[in-house]
Amino acid sequence: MKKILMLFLWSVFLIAVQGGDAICQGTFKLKSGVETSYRVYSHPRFLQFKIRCSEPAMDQLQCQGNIHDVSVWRGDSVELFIKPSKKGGTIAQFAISPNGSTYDALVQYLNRDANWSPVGIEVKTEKGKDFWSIDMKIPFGLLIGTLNEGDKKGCDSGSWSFNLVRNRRAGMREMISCAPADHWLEYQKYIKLKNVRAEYSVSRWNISGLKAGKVQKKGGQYTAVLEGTVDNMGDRMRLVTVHASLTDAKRSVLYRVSEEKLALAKGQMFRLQKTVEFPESGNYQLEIYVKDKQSLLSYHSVPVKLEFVPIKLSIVSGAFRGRELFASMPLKDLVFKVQTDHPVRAGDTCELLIRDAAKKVVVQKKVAAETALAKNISIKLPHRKPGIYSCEAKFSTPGLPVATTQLRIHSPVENEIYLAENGNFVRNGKEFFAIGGFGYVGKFLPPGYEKTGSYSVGYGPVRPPEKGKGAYSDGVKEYDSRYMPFPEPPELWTHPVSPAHAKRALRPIPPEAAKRIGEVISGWKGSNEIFGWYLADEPSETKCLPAYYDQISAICHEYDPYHMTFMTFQSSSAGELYGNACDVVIFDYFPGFHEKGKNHTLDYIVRMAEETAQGIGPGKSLISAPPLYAYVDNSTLMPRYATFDELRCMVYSSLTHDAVRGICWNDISRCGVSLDQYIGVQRISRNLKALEKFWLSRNLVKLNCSGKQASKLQWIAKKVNGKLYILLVNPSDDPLKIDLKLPADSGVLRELDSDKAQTLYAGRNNQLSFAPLQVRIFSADPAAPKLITVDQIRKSIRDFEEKELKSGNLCYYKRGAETIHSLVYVKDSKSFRFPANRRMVNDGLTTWLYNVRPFPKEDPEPFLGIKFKKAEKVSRIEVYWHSFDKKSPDASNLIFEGAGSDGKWKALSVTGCKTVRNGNVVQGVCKISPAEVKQIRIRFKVKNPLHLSVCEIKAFNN
Amino acid sequence: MFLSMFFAVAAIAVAQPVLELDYTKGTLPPNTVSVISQQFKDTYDHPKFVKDGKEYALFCGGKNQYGHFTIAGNWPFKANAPFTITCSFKSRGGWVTPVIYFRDSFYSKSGFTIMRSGPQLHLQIGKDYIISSDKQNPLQKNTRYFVTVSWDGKVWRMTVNGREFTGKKNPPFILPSAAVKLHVGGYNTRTNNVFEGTVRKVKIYDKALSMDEIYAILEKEIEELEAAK
Repeated sequence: MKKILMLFLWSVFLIAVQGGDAICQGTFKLKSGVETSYRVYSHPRFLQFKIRCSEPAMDQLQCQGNIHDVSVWRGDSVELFIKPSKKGGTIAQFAISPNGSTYDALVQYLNRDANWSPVGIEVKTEKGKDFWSIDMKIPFGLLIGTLNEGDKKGCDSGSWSFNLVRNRRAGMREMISCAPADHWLEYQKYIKLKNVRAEYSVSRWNISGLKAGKVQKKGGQYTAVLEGTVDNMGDRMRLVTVHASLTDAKRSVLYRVSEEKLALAKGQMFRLQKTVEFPESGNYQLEIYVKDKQSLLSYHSVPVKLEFVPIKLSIVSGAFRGRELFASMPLKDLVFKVQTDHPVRAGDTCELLIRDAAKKVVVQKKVAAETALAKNISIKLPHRKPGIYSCEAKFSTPGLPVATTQLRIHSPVENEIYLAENGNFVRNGKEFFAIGGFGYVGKFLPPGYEKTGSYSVGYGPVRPPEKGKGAYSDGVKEYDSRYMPFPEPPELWTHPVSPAHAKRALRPIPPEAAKRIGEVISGWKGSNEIFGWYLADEPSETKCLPAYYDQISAICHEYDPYHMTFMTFQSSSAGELYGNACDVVIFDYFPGFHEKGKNHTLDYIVRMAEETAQGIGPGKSLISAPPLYAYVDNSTLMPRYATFDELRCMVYSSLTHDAVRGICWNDISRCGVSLDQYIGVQRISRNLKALEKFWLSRNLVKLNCSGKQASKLQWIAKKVNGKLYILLVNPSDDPLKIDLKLPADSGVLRELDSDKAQTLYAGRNNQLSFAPLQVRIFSADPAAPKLITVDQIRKSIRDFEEKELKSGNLCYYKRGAETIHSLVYVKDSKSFRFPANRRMVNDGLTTWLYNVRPFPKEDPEPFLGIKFKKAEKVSRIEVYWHSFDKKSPDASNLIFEGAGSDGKWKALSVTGCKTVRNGNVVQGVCKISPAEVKQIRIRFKVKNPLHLSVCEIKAFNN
Repeated sequence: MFLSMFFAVAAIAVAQPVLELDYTKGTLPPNTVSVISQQFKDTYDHPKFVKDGKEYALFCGGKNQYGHFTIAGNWPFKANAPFTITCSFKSRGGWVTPVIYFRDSFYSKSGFTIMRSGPQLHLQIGKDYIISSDKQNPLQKNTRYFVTVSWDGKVWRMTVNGREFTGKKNPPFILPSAAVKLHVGGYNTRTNNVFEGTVRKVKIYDKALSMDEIYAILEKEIEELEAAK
C-alpha cells in the first residue's frame, strides 16, 4: 500500500515537473541500428526536449569542443533545430555534446549568426552504461524573441516545428536526421509540434536599440555608456528584472553592467542607460535580457566596438584608404577629420599641417578648436611630389597630444587599381563596373559571344610567375581578365580550412609568414594581372581571428598599395568582424527555396547587401555573387539550376542596392551544365556591360511607387548625363502591379530590354504590371544602349538547344571522357549540402541525373539513373558518390538495369567493379557487358542509406 | 519542501497600511471629500469615478488641468516618524500637477508633494524637487505607474514602478498643521494644477518600507489589477 502511495505521489510529482504528457515523441535509428529517442514537453514558459541516445560504445564517446560554441558538433552530439513560426525563415540551432557543452546559432533566412549565445537555456546531460541523454529547457521568450513582428503573428500552438540530427562518432562515424530533410535547414520537412501551450503574451517583450558609446578614460580604466530599450508588448503589468552585461569578444570575461528590478505595464518601455568600466579598447558583446520570477522573457545581444579616441586625425576624402594618393586620381582637396574624447576650451586653436619626409612643412592651416571638431577641414595640396608625408593636428589645449596620420603620394605605375570616392572601381583613372566570377571568366564563352568579364577569383596560393609564364598570365592573355588569388600562407587558401590550419590561424600572424606574404606580393607589384587579393572565403571566428586578416591586409597594402583586398561573406554579421581588412566585399547568397508566392533567395538579397554594407562601414564597396550552383526546388523536391529568369532576377535584384559595384558569377565553372546559364550568364553580362554608365552613376533619384503591392517591388533610379534610368525588379513568384509616378523633369522613358517595350511618362501615373521574377529597365536617354532583349535571349537558348539536338550532341564543350566538374558541394562540416544537378552532358550522351533522395513516394517515375535521347551502346558505368564514410556501397548490393526502346527493365550483366577515392567523392566504376539501352538505372538490394548520395553517373562505350 | 514553501510565503508577507484610500469601489473612502475647481464647479460634467476593468478609479482633472480631486482628513503622519506613502495612478499628461499634495502651502517647508511635471515625477519639499525620476524614462500617458515615497527619519526615497531614486538633499520631514488635508490629484480649487489622470489607491504605512516590501506590495497590486481585468 505504501509502495502504491509512493508511486502515486512520484507520478504526480513527475507530471507536475514535466508539465504532463509529451506533445511529441519518437525514435529514429542510425544506419548501424543505434537508436535515438526523444520526447518534447510543452510548459507554459519553456519547451523541453528529453533526448536519449543509445550508445553501445560509450567508452569511445568523442566529446569534442568543451568550449561553448566551438566544434561541439564535430564529436558525438545532437543538433536541434527549432522553427517557432509558420512565417519567415528564423531557426534556432543548438548542438549539445554528451558532456553538456553547447553550440547555439540563429539562422535567419539561411543567414547564420553564430554569435548568438543566449542565456536562460537549461541543459543537463547524463551518461549511462549504454546511453547518454539530454534534458534541455528552452524558454519560449527566447525563441519567440528571435522573430520579427510579422513572424511573431504566425506563432501559435500549431506553428512550431523542429528537427534533430544525431552525430555519432563513437564506434563509427555516422549521422542521421530525424526529419526527412534534405539538408538541415530545410524547415519545410521538419517535424511539426501540436498543442504548444506557451504563454504567448509573456513572450512579447521586445529588446531593441542596444548600443554603446561615449567612451571615456579615467586613470587606467575606460568607461562607456551602454543603452538599450525594453518594451512590454505583452498583455499585462509584470515585475521583471532587466539584466545588462558586457562580455569580451570570446565571451570569457563578463562585465556586469546592471541588474534592475522594475514593473512595466503593457505598452510601457524602459530605457536602460548605464556606464560600464572596461579594461581596453576592442570588440565586445552587449547583452540584455529580461526575466520575471519564473523564467526568461526576452534576450538580445549585439556586438559593440568600444574605442577610446584620445585624439585621432584621419583623411576622409581625397585619398584612397585615407592615405594613398595615386597618380591617376583626380586633383582634389584633402579633407581631414579630427576627433577627440578630451574636452577643449573656447578659444583653443587647432593647427593642421602636412610635413614631407624631411620634416619640412608643405602646407598648414589654423582653425578654432571647436570648429575643427565640429566639421571637417579641407586643405589644398600645393603639389603631388611622390613620397611619404606626415599630417599633424596640434591643439593649443593643454595635455592634448598631437594627432598624426600618414599620406603616401605614389609615382605613376602602369596598372593602378583602386576605389573611387563614390565606391566605383577605377583602373588607371577610368571607372568600370566589375564583372567576373569564381574561376576563369570567358572559359565557357559560347561561339560568337563577345568577352565581358574583367576579373576572376582563383582559390589557392599564387606565387609570382617567371616572366611571361605561369598559369595566371596565360589566363590574362586568353581571357583578358585580372585575378584575385589567395595570399600565402597556405592555411588561408580556401575553404574548408582543416582543423589544424584553423588552430594556426587563431593567433597573430607569425613573422615568417608575414615576410612570406610580403615577398609574394612584392613579386606581383605593378602587374597588370592582379585585380586584388582574395583574403578569405567566408571567414568565421572559429577559423580565423579578424586581427589575422587585418594584419595580412596591412601587409598587402604596405608592399603594394594598388592591390585591393577582398573577402566573401555569406553572413551579414561577418561584415562587422572582418570588413576592416577588406577594400571590397563579395557577398554570396545561396540558392533558396521556392514556396508558393515566395522566393527566399530573392527576398533577402537586398537586405543582405544592406546589412553587409552597414557592417563593413563607409568607403567600401560590394560585389554581388549570383549563385550558379544547383539547388533543391521545393515545388518538385528535385535539385536543379536556376532558370534564366531566376538568374537574371537575382543579379538585378542585388543591383537595386546602391552599394553593389560589381558582379561575381559564383562559380563560373558551372556555366556549362545548364543551357540557361551557359547562354544566360554571357547575355546578362553583356547587358550589364552595356549599361555600365547606369551602374557607375551615383546620381540617385527618388521614385514614387504606389499601390497595394508597391512595397514588394525592388527598384533603383539614377540619372546618367542628366537622363533618367530606372531598374524595377519583381522578386516574387507572383505577378505584381504598381503605379509609378516619375519626377516632372524625367521626360519620356522607354523600356530597354523588351520586345514589347512600354513607355513611361513624367508627371503621369504609369501603371506597370510585372510577371513573376520580371526585371524591367527603362531609360529617358535616346542614346541608351541597345540591349539584347529577354525574348532574344530565350530564343538563343532554344536555337542553341535545337541545333545541338539536331547534331545529336548536346555537349557544350568536349574534353573526352574527363569529368567536366564536380557537382557535389559540401560546406560547413558536411551539415549543409546541395545535391547534384538534374541534367548534364558527357561524351555526347545526354545524362539525366536524379538525386537519390527524396523521391515523392507516390511518384514511381523518378529513378536513379540515366535517360538517353535515343538508344545508346553502353559498356561501362561510372558512379560518383558522395558519402560521409568515404566508402562506396558494396557493388554486390547494387543492381544495374537497362531498358531499351520498349521501356522494359532488364538486368545488365556486370563483369567487374572497383572503387576509387577522390576526396569526399567516391568513384565506383563498373564494367558491364555491352548493351544497347535507352535508360539505365541503379537499384539497391538494401535500403538506400541516407548519408549517401549519388552526385554523378556517366555512361561510356569504351 | 513544505517548509521551504512556508518560508517563501513568510518572506513575501505584504506590509499592512495604516490608512488606505481605496477608490476602486467607485465611492469616496471614509473622511474623504470630493472637490472641483471653482472655474467649472457648476458646469463640471465628468463622472468622478471611471470604470477601469471590473473596478473603478478616481477621475482627476477633466478641464485643462482644472477639475476634480479629493481631500482627506484623519491622516496618520506623525512628527519625526518614518512613513511610506504609495499611489497607483495613470496619467493623461499635464505639467506641474500634484498627484499627492500634503503641505501647508505650495512652497511651504512642511509636508511634501509628489508632483508630476511633464515627463517626470518629482518629490517636492519646500521649493525644491529633491528627488526626480530619470529623464530617459519619461512617464507614458495612460499607462499604470506605482509610486512610493518614504521617509526613514534621515533619508527620502522615491520609487517609480519599483525603480528607486534618491536625491542629494534630505531636508527634514516637517509635519504640516493639523488643519491640512491630504490632497489626492490636486492642489487647490483656484489654480490649474489639478492632476490629469486616474488614481486607484493611496496607502500610507507607518514605516519606511524596504525595497523587498515595496516589491511585495507591487506584486500584490499587479495581482489585483489582473483580477480586476
